Amino acid sequence: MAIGDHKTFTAQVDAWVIKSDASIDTVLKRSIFDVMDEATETVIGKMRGGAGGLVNRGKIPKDLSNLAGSLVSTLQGGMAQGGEDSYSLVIGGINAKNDPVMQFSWGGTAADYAVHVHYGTEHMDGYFWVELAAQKWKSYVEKNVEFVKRQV
Amino acid sequence: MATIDTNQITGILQRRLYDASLGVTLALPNVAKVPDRPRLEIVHLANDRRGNTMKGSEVIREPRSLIVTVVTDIGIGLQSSEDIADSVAALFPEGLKLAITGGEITVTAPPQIGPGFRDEAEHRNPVTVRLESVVY
Repeated sequence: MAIGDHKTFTAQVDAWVIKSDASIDTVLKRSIFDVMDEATETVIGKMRGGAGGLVNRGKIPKDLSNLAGSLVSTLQGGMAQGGEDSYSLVIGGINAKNDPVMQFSWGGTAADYAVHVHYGTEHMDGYFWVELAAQKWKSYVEKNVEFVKRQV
Repeated sequence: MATIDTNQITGILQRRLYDASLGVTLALPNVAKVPDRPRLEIVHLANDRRGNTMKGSEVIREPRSLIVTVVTDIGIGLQSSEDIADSVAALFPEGLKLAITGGEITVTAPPQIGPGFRDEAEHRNPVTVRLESVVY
């Protein structure tokens, strides 16, 4: 997760899974669904009467503008959103046999305040939804490696 | 049963910043906000725990993040903000281990320094330290 530059989270996939492209794909897809399920959870924003960031850490406040809908995903180094006054929050990818890298970002020109809401400001606690979801990346990958092993 | 004391970990991480005497005010959670600049705003994020039972012993691992936001005045140039951010990052090199009751905290990746962003009269530059706590 990062702002501006796209930092990556890497989870080690064990050697048994790397022997098969299909296994890697399954682990990757399931882990991405898991982590995005986590990262895209929304909560009513403060402008609409919701509670602030401290009690809703890990969720995206959905208010009157585009933050929750500003999610952009790219595969294998596609162009991410950017601009002089925009920032991107990114969950990086997985480096397995094919070195697939998927990036997810919020913000850009659609919601250039994403970084303020994520990290917080002097007047507002941060929501940290990217950081908290990304923390779970490793455990999701481990869980899905076990899932693939059980299918054989 | 093994337990992880989140408050103890928060205290150890804050103590490391305090003892470094960076010459910057520390703004801690649950303490009245201070307007000083430069200052460091500290947030400790913990996530759900993963347990591995091995031969009757229990190991608990928790991914954690320490977010230290360097807050400086607008208009003084980026150098001072980034110098402070570098100093904070240098306190938590990858592989650093800190002892806690029954286990340890490990820094699992090099601290990431964001490019910073502007908020009214402040420039805010977050430093993210990724950690894992283990209790055996």
